[in-house]
Amino acid sequence: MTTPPTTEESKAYPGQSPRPRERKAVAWINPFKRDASYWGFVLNRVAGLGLVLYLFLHMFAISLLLRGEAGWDAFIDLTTSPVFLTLDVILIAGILGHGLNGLRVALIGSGVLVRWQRQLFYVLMTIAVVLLVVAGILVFTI
Amino acid sequence: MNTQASKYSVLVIGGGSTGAAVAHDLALRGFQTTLVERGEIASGTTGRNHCLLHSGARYCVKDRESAVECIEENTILRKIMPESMELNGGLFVAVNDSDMDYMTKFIEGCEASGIPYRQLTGEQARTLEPNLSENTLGAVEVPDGVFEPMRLCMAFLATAKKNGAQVLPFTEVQGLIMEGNRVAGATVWDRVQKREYNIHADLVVNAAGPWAGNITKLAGVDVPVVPTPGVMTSMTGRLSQRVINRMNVSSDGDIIVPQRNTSIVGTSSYTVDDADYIEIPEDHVQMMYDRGSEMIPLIGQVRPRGIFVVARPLIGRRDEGGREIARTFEAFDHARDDNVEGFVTISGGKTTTSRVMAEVAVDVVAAKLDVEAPCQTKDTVLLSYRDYYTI
Amino acid sequence: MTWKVTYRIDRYRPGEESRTDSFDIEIEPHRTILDGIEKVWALHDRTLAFRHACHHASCGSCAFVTNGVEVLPCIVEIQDVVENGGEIHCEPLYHFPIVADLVVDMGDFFDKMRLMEMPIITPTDPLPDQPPGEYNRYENCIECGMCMSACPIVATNPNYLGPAPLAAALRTIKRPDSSPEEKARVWELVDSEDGLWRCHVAMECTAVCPSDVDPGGKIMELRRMATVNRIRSLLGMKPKHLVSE
Repeated sequence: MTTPPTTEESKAYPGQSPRPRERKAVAWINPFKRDASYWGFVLNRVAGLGLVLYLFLHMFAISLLLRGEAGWDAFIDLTTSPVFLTLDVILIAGILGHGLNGLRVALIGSGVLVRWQRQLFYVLMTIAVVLLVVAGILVFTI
Repeated sequence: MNTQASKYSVLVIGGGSTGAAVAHDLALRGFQTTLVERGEIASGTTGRNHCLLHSGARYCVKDRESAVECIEENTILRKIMPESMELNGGLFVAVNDSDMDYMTKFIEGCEASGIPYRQLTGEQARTLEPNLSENTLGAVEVPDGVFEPMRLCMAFLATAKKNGAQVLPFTEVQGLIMEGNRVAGATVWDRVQKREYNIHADLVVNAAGPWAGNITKLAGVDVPVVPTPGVMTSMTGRLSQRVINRMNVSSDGDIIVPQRNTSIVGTSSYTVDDADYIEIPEDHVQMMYDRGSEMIPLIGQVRPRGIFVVARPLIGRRDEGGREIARTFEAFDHARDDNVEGFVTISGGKTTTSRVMAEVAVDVVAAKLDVEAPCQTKDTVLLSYRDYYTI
Repeated sequence: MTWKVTYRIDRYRPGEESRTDSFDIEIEPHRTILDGIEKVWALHDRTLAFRHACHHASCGSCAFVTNGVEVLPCIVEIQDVVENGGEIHCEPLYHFPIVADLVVDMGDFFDKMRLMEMPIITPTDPLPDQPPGEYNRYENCIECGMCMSACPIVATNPNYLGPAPLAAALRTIKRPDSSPEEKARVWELVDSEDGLWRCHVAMECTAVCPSDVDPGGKIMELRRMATVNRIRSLLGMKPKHLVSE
């Protein structure tokens, strides 16, 4: 994702060849930003990547069915361990965050409720947290 | 293509409104033009000016020559830089009896200088501009305007570049190349590549504003240019659409210029020796708020957005406060005055008159080089400032 | 009363290694970051290269990054970014090619702005209580480039038009005096893969804009127009916005 360095001369500064900036693949993360919408964007990207990764893990897990009953039972034991349940909660956090923020992006991106985009973010994330807490309790008690 | 002019190369020192207009005029007449500026274009006096396109009314009582110059250039700049300025006019307001007494002289001055005007009662003025003080007793409407200095310079320079000029920012003049008593160019330092090199020229034009004296010293010459700073405060809020001036003898803090969503109050006047770094005097800042609120009371209540000071080049002897020195410009042909050939200084003036300053300076250049090249800047519409970055 | 403030400025010259220089200065806390930079230049290091002109947020030339966030140093006070004895880390705007130190090349950005042909002067409404009249004023956008530096999509995509050009496109499209051909041309530019659809609604552009342009909101406005047109055409209705043919 980097542009190769060119020696194109600057028109506003004749005789100078400005150094192009590297475009790193993670250039979109800047820990100094304070705006809530920016962190919504980061959350969506990170959760999105995480969910894609989960998709592959899930397909791998389902493929364990091909190994017959013994292998499957061993896997089911693993899935009820506390570590795994915690990962499940993280997964639900990702789904809720990405989903509800995605709903916001879809609305804003069609030009709806643009003036309230920050308030919408806070409201939807609050709903996500509430639902996450409920889901977390359910995951660990059922 | 003026084949006579194209044989000669001219170096312009200074990238403010004077230098930019000179470079444009030179390039238009066909000279090989190079402009050097030690910082970014308009980073000196011009960048921090009051952004006021003068109608000339400010000078119509005491300095009629200046007033006529201003109204003529006002009309010309509107033509050559279309759609580049806020053109909502201006008001000279009277908020006390002293101001009202001045009105008769003021109107006479406007008439004598050819400045179109319209007399208004206090109530009419306050209807037109609702934020004016309740004390407004009367006003006169004149064709003031508002411009952006950096974009003005870039419009001149974009056109100059189109006509073949070379513009070199971040290039600082270190010395003048002397051949006997002739200036044959300059030794410059490229601040980016950190290298020194020579630029040879048939003639050097010194347009360095308040630093003009620093440049002339390099040829062993003096010019009576006095660095004279003044404080301005840009206040949050577009408190008027028109430029608001005080109808009285010119003094401090008597102009409020709207620009986008701000109102710029200015200015003051005092002299310094070194124009490179000037501390902002707090009492002057307070004076801007106080004087500004006499015309628009909200000035004293809104937050300031930017507070700035820069030295202006005033021609004349050092004087107390600097206010009495006229804001005229002057072209110094150093061959005539100081026996140094190939060297012209153009200094003083204001951005409103930068085009005519350039015309005078380049007329001197053409005469010295014995080139027949009439000035065409009155009628040449300039390119957009955005082209500066892309030509 | 002055504070002791340390300016840590990223330096660059062609052919040299980039480094960060530290300068300690004494300055009143209500002075601006740019005043401090000028003091560093005047009193400490005359080789420092930086852009500035108007000192009141109208020319847009002085923008750079302070402590990780884009600012216009001419209107931000030192006490708003540091405490007494603190450090101000100055970097040039992100995503622009560096000429030297804090000076970046705006050529590419202005190429994009020129495409939109937004006139810099716009008709404006009267002030509250002011009688109607034909007033005009400068468009809010001062073309400072801060939104381009803040945008995470500009960070990874060199072809993306960017917040400021897209906001300018909306202004051109909405002006009553733009010709239909101009509006159609600009619309075609922005209704494209690297135009208004590339935005991911991070809204950092709106957050850093010093001039109330709200480029994020304007891009969403453009999207609303595009979406309405598309839905209407799907339903067999005539497009509502920008009827070109």
